[in-house]
Amino acid sequence: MKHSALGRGLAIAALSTLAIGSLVGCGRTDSAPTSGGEETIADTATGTIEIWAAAGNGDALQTLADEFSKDNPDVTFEITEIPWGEIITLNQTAAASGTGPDIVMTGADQTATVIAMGGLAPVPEGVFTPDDVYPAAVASVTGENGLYAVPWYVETRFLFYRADIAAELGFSAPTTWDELKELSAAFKARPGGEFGYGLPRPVENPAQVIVPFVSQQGGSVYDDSGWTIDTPEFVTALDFYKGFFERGESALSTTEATFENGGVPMYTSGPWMVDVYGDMIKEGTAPEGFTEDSVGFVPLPSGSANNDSYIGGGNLGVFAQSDNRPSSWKFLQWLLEDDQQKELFDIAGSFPALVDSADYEPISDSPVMAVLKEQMPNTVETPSFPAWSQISQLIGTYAERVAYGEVTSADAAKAIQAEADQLGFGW
Amino acid sequence: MTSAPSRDVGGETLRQPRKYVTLAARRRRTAVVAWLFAAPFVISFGTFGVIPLVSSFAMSFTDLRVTDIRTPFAVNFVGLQNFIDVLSDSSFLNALRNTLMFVIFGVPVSLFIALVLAVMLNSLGRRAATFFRVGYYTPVVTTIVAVAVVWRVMYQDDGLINSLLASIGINGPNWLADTTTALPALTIMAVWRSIGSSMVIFLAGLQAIPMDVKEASSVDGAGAVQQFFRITIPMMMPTILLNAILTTTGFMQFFDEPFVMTNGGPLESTTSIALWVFRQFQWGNYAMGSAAAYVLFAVIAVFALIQFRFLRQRT
Repeated sequence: MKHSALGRGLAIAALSTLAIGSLVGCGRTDSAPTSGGEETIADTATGTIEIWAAAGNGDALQTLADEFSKDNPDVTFEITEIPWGEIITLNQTAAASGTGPDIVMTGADQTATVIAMGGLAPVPEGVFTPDDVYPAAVASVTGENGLYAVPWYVETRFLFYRADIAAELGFSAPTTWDELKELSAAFKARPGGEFGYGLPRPVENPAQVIVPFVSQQGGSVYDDSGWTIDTPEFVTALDFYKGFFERGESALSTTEATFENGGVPMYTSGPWMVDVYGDMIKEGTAPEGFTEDSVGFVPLPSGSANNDSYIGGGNLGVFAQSDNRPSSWKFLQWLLEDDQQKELFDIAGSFPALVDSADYEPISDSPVMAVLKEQMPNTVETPSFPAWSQISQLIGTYAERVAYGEVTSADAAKAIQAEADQLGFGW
Repeated sequence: MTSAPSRDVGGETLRQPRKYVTLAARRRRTAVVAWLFAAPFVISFGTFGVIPLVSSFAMSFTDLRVTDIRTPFAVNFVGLQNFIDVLSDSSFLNALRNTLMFVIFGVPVSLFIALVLAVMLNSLGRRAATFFRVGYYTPVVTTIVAVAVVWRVMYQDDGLINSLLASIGINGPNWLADTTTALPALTIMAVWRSIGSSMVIFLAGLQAIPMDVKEASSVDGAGAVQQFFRITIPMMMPTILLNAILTTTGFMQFFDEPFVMTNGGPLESTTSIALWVFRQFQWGNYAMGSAAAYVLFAVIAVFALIQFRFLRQRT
């Protein structure tokens, strides 16, 4: 902390005059929130537990909460759904003002930012066993000084391809980068073919495919000491990404080509798309000839090292300034038990964060979930650092320049590295 | 106050049978009542206007980040460092350039179209004028998100605009995907969205021009064109000045169109300052964002001053 006393005095004077509060601190403290000393888990939950559930998760949480209340009759729940896009902002406000709910839900890629705000209380021992949970999910709840949330469910992405068209062309599901490129080229080259492999456009957060491309060659975008963007693996990943745009197999601008009309016969997405197509076919809104047999889904093709995919999911944390933390921990502990993890799959179709719960029969019986389960061990987490949102935007900006042929992948990697070094992890 | 000494003030109060109220006391009372009436505005403007304004200004001289949110006073004073960083950031300068291009092309076009429309509407009958006024004002009150969907379809490679261009033999570009056409495309859309409100203000200004001036000029033999340039424009100068400042200020804060249409792309060619600031706040770089916002504030102030100087001389 190398700042002049005068400078600091001025800053404090300037800020104090605003009378925003009387909270004059004394220099930066460690980022770990220390609002209530040791975290404990209640034997039985009492009082009111207010939950901010991410959109689409309120019903599942309510169902489970009702069940939890049977063994804990003195507890009541207030569950509010908030849109995914508002989670960061609402948590900012809550952390700054000190008033918020008891439990907050965050996306796997948002948790680090909320931890950095000091918005989440450290997870006490006994709530869950990190070794029992998918490692990538544990990484998403890990802050600078330990665990700050509970991974509730996980989801990952896999490859969708038009099985019917591929079969006509004499191809089966691609399992390697080379096969992926061949199939993509064949899709585009076929009569009436528009695109081959739809990648997220540069403005659609391409980091979510580029990070797996790096990982599929055994690389990583960070290590213990900092960001590692300027690496051969990253350059290869960018080149691989760029290739699909260069060859016209991926669309650089918005297009009316879709998976169901055959324009984009292959892309990467999550299990929910299977339901979307199912509904489309059932309701008769699908284009002619698009049936359930058209939708092929398989684990991602492998690079030189593995077939790692991007992992996301929903995490539940306890608000650092909540006055009902012990009861909240009790509820989260209960949610992470095998029974409740399986029930979550039954009621919401969410894939359990507990590795053992994934052995649940209905999961293996569902073709989609079976693919998901096969993909799960090979996943790479979103780098869980507060600075990641900015770095991923940087990757997007440079990926766009690379796709437009403005800079080479090697130069882009160097430029991103330089800016990332300045930003650091952001804790 | 009930036993105020009887001083000779104002005459009439002295004669009143009730308690004496001195002029000073009455003034004070009037002031209290006035402040009471003003209070709702003063309080809300103070709370949601002045305090955030001043605190973000103070913030821009510190290194406040997302990690400091719970201890906002325990930050370091960094002087002008944020401003230096902002002004030497190539992506910010790019955003500044985009915003200026947008303003320099968008504002005059918007004002010109609005003025022409207002003059035309002013010469129409009341019914027709109302109909067209509603028509041109509708874009102002429609939601950008809904409008964006339509415009995006229109701007598509095979969209309405390119089909129209094709019918006269022009091969239109892929508007939003091309770095040279994306900003002009958004400018056109913003102009369409803004002419309505400028037009309404111009209309009010036109209706305030006394008829006798015009009549006198027609008696002297002035034609419509001469009347427009010699009478209408000079008499409208205060309105034009107001509209110019309002439109420039609005256009400087260019945000909605790039946010919903292009997200700043392609290749950052439509990233505006406001969008740049928004991203800084999203990333938790509050101090940087505040500094950039004040740079924008300064630019707007300079533009407003220039417009005042330039147009004042002619009023």
